Amino acid sequence: MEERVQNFIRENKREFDFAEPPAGLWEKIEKGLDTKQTTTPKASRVVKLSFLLQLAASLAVIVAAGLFLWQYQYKQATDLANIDPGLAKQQVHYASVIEIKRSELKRIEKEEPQLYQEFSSEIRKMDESYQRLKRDLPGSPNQEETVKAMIRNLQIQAEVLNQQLNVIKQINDSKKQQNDETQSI
Amino acid sequence: MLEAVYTDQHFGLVVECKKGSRKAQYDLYKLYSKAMFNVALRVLNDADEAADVLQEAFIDAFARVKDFRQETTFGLWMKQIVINKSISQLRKRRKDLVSIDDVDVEAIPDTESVDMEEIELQVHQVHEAIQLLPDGYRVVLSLYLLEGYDHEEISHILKISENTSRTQFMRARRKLVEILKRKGIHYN
Repeated sequence: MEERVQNFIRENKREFDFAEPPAGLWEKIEKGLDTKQTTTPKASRVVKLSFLLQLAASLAVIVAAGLFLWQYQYKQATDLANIDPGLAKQQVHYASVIEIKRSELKRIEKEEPQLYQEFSSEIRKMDESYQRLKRDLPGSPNQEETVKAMIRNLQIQAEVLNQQLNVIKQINDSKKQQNDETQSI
Repeated sequence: MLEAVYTDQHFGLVVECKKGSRKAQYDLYKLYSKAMFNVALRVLNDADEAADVLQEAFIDAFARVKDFRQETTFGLWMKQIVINKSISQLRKRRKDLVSIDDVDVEAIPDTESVDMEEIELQVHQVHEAIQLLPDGYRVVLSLYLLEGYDHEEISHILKISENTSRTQFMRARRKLVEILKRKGIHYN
């Protein structure tokens, strides 16, 4: 019975979304966005470019044609699912785990700015090498290996984030303990 | 079908949104508000609170969209924001999200009556039963079965251990069936 209910819920997932958000919510969101965007983007500066523009225009035509071709190939290659659906699934999984952990880490930004800087720069470095792998992927002679390396990188990022979060937890615990001790005195 | 999971069909819309296009923001709102409202509602079990969370989540998401690296889809990213906000809203109401049932579920024998197996399950009925679950149960069950997170992810979202997530889920599932069985009497 339990299995059955579980499967039933999973199979009918979409049908569980039947509530409608209240009308007029968008207007409230818009208002909220407007007050947040008090700093309007700067008007683009006007620079004399007549000659440069001509040059740019002719270049643009050439670049566009090249880009079109290149992008077509690039898209084919960067779609991880085309290379290996299993690996693509892993990539999505780790990316979302990391996303959650990052937001956890972000919580200490105010309390422990120094620690946060240190931790996030570690992650940033790893992420840079991930991005490099990703950039190299379309031209890589062995794409599967590159994807595997990308996933390994994500795994390590998740692991490092774990350790960092552990350290934070320990710090918080010992702080709490100190508090408790001073309170009991 | 499979590719839809890995590539965001609204990638371009998100790019426009990063440039601050109000039209793109509205389009994304139209596309995701219903699903996201339901996500918040399942966690909070309160329509007014869910609407407030949704409003806040969209404003927040659009303000932060520049930082969104589009490694996952906008839907998954947005869902994360909605869930985090919903959980912290729920925590304001309730301190402890781990429900402790005084009944030891493992000890209850699985009495499956034949009739029960034959009852046709209906979405609205199961949905009602989910709403009757205690907060802690409802959240874990919804995250696992409806939002599609695994126990590792849930453990991070709720700041509980993976094991707790697992046992909470098992208990929630059992409780849900109990409720359905009780209700089944009325439905027949």
